[in-house]
Amino acid sequence: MNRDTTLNGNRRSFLKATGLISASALAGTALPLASAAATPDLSTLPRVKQVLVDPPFMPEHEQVATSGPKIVEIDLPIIEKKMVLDDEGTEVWALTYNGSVPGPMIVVHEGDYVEVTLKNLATNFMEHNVDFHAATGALGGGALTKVQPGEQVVLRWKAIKPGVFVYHCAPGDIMIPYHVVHGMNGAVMVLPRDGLKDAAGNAYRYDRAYFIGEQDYYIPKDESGSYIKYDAPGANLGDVMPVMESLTPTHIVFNGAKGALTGDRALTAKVGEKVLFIHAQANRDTRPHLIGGHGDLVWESGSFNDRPDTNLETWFIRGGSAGAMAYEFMQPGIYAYVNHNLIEAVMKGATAHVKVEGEWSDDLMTQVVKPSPIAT
Amino acid sequence: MWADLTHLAAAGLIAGLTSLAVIDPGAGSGSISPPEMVQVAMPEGQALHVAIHEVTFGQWKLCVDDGGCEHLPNPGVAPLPGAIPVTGINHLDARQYIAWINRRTGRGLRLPTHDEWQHLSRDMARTTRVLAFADPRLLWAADYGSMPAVDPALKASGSFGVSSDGVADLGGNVWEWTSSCFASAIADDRCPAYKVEGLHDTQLSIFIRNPAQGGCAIGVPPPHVGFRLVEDES
Repeated sequence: MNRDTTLNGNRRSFLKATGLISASALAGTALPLASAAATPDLSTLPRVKQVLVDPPFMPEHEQVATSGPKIVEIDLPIIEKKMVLDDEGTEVWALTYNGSVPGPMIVVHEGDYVEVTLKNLATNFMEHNVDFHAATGALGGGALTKVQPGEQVVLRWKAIKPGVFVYHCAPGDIMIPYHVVHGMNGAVMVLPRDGLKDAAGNAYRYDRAYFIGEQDYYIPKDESGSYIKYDAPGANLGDVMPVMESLTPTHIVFNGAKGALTGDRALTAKVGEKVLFIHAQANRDTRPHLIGGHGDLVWESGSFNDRPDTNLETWFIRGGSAGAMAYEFMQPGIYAYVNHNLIEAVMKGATAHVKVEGEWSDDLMTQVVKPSPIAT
Repeated sequence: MWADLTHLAAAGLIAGLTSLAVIDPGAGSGSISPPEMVQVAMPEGQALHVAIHEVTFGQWKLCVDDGGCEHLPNPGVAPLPGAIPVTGINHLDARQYIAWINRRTGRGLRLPTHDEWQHLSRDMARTTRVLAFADPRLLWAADYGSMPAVDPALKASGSFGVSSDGVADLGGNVWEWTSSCFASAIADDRCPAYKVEGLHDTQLSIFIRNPAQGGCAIGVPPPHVGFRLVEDES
């Protein structure tokens, strides 16, 4: 076989295809700074640094803001790294924010400012940026955040729309979907300052929250049907485009890899706890469902200004959006949280489990007679 | 320890390693031959010939190429150097292979029974179940995570050590189909699920090819399922 899985082998065509060379000439030139006249005096606002954590976990945050608006500083490194995405050892050169797929959840309150320091590590090969769906202007910040390996940029944007929102890399042309389907997406939650409200408008507090990022991968196969492994990020460019154009993912997974949220890594909860699930899909429609439970409150479109739907069996997350669901667990045991296209859940990987401790309710369910021969 | 047996095997210190290797009876293609086997004394005094290795992907491919097997599992990743056990094989597939190889070699190869497998693995440390839930009403979920996670990466045949009988990989990450129906009362031609053996006992529907993704919505099933051939002493 004479396939070239190195980047050097086709680096010239790769750079040409990505426009990386020309983009590099543009980036780094002085951008106009924010106009002082249009901006209130931010020097008096308190600054806090948000420590990012790997999904499915959320950074420490207040549900109800106990003070006025602040500037939330986010240090967001970009790391290109090889990851294994299934039991068979299939590999992807993931393009990541902060080293995880999906990128980390960022939580602020409406009226806060998000100040992101985006660092494209010098060890990376590609140009990157970030488009925050929660932000206003300049392609979500994408036009102001292009950074080459070894560069960083600082972008501040005001969180004016409460809800959950996707962020993703969008460096231009075919590299937009390329980066997104190689893992480069995450989510922001902008909470109302007085917290969430249930369908009746009453304050709603969750006991814990999880961020589930759903990722579609398109891994090229060789002539024998085996997934190809590459030696560098970007080396799959020629092979991956036809797979992407087929619109048929080879893998659809939660948190970067098949089984990332099952077994020892299953989510946990207790009976009586209210759990908020934030589900993001940056590229493709999906339909979460909690097997054995319900969506008590569902902000399907992700907007916290909208009244949540109640008691849903399955809800829809549009590609390029995030949504939120809250559920109070009422029975112990194992729950499966799936994309209820069951082919995608079972055969492509989009399954998570929740292990719930607590007291079983016979009132809610009882096995009246165990399996036994059919009564005649 | 189980792993230590590897060294014994490598040093050639295992007694009774009687190889019946590679006899080509001349039926059909010269490249189709039964697997290399060892003779194992069974508890009731009879001898059982047991394949040293699980059926490999390469051996399976011969069956497909010869028209004896319909299903060619995707090896998933680029083949490792050396033989790897075939996985992605359900009970029906395995039976198809066995019918083919017996037809082509004139032998009486079959799957081991549950009891035979238990005997072959008698020295092996089985993993201990730790039930996830004690409440009997949660029996349906009690097995969740009850087994330690096993690295699912397929390895070359022989990578997981050899038993004192000379049988390799019984404790590897490929569980093995048996010929024992999960319920003894069910006639064999109607059995919907068979016992599967490995680091822990389990059972799988005859249709399941990839237990890790297809068994059911919950539980921690074996990462892979393949099979091993045995033959009664003639």
